[in-house]
Amino acid sequence: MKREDLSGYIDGELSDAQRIQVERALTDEDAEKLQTYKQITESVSEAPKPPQSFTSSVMQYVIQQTESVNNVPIKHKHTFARFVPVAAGLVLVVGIALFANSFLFGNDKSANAPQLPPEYATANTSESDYESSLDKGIVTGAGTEEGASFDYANAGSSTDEYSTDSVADEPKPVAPQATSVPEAAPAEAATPADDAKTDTPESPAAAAPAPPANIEIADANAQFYAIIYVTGELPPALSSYPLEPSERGDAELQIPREVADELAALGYETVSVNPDSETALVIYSK
Amino acid sequence: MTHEEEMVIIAKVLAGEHNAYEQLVLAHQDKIYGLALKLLHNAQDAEDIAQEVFVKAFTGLQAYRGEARFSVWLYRMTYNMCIDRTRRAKRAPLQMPHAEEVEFDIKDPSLTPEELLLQRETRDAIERGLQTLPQNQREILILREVTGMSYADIAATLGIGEGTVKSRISRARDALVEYLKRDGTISRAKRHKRGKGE
Repeated sequence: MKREDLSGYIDGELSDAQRIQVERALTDEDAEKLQTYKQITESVSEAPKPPQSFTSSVMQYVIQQTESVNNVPIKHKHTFARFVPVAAGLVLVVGIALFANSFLFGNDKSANAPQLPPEYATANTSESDYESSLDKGIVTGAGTEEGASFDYANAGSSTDEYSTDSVADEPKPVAPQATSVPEAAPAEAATPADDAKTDTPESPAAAAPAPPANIEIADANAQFYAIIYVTGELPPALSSYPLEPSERGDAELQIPREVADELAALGYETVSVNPDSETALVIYSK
Repeated sequence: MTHEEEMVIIAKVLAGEHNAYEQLVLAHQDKIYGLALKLLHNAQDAEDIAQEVFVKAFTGLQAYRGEARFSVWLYRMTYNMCIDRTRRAKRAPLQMPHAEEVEFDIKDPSLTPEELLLQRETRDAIERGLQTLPQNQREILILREVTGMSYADIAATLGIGEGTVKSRISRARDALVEYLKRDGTISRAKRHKRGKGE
């Protein structure tokens, strides 16, 4: 009798002939071993039941999934606080670039160039990884927690188009009810003024209507189609992608734009960046 | 639940009767959660994974062709997701569970207090012994014992030969028996039996 046969015997994995052979050859020691095997099986197979709420929470999730797939457009959950550092960092970079441009190339508009609001000037720039991929383009859009109405596209080009004085006074903007990213619709954010168009006539992102999303940052030179923030459980759509730990302690992964659209449709927080790019970036944290 | 019953429910779910999915969840949740708990040793992680398995199975139900039992499909997903999570979290080797974390007791009312104690000691010793096994033996033994999957299904799940499955399970059990001998658990059980005159 082979050693594996005893194990196969209690698992019911032997043929009738093998089973009879094992039973005939069984010694006292084998019988004791079989007894211990059974104890092992009983012990390892014992497990507590899931919490009572388990079934209902699964079904709730399942129904939510069904509804989110069936209901188009989908109302995204917006947490604007998370985008403030990104937006502020981008504004800072663009501001610095415009100032540098004014000084280096003697732009006579520099005298009238607007100063960045203090909250942007002191903003957290921890998203510098992404700024590096964004700092060459035109930035349009708005959406900060403070309700600032700041036409980034026109900053530094025309004081008429620029306004920061409403930061404290105006009511908070209503979070845009974004539809899924791929379904392009005229975007309010992508309405650059003439000056901006003159500055970057080659920028398709500035001219083309961008799909509405949580935040629109049109940048034709940016590396990513969108940046998507995912927290908690990794959605099934991402389970096959390798997560790369980032320096910030979270994880990143690059995904095709189709998957990004899928995540946006599921309500994950999305910053649309370059509508021409084929790759999106997911920032994942537990 | 038979395979045919499962297929009937799946057909209902696919036809839009989503609430029917609850029957499948109820039928399999104990084993899915149990498997995740045994593999991850963390109740919250096990619950998360079990939930994710059912949601993933629901969203991917179109892809289920009924070639394997639905339960086996779920076990495969559970196993793979647990192993994936363990690797990502770099938790290997798995830590012993915190006593309160996965505390459970399935009391047999016919047992005397002494027998209950012995049963508990044996179970704890087996749990400790499991942690001493090589990872590939421990995982395969858990997969077999918790789910009762056939060697063929385990082989398909792990992408290894059936002979390897058979051999790893046997080695894992033998190693556990040796551990229990060294640990004194087996001799204590023998003494107890002799005391009872069995």
